[in-house]
Amino acid sequence: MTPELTPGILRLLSASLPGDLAEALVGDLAEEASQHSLGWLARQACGAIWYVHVARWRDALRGAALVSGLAAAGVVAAAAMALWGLVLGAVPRRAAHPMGFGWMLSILVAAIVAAAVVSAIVRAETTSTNDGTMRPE
Amino acid sequence: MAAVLGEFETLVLLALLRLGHNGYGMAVRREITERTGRDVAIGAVYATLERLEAKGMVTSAAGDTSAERGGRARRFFSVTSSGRQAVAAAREALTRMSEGLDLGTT
Repeated sequence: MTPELTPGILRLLSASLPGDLAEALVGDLAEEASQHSLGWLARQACGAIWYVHVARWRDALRGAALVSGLAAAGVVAAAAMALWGLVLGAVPRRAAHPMGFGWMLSILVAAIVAAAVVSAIVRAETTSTNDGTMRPE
Repeated sequence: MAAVLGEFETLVLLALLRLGHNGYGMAVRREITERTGRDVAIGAVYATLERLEAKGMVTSAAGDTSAERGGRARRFFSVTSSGRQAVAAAREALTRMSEGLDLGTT
């Protein structure tokens, strides 16, 4: 163990975590640090930041995933209506796709990809929090 | 009906029940590591304890400070009756599901 690095790591960790939790968690690590390597302490500190923030932001991320999903659904609906209008010729060509079909398709793909990415993040982080053995690295 | 627990939540609650009045984060981590062989991160333990507290399955209280801990207080957790019921339900479910199965582990 490199004793001079320990207080720095603990101070950094303390500043990264919310108040009451920081006191308990950092106190536990301070008590245990002398029995372990610097690598162990660094891993625990990184893990603590990861898990605690993931747990606190999980619901917010779920909300973001929902918003992305709704946005994607909205874009799909708008594109479908525009195409439907084109097919039927019920609306003028420019009104059906004022931004152009290429742009519309790009926005649609981007929205779907964004929704998929956010959902994947939420799923992965939820799993890691519950499992308790995955490491941040 | 008791609330459904995740596997790690069940382990944390069982560790707290085993530790009795000495249930704080690092002790829970040590108990799980010694009994299951899993290298658990302390952050995962505290994140789970916070979640369980939000669900009303554990309560916490600050302990004394010490120089060894840099003047920081320990936070002791104890399992509520709702937490005990949830653990009992999880154990019951596991027993029923595994009843009569030959898992080939002997």
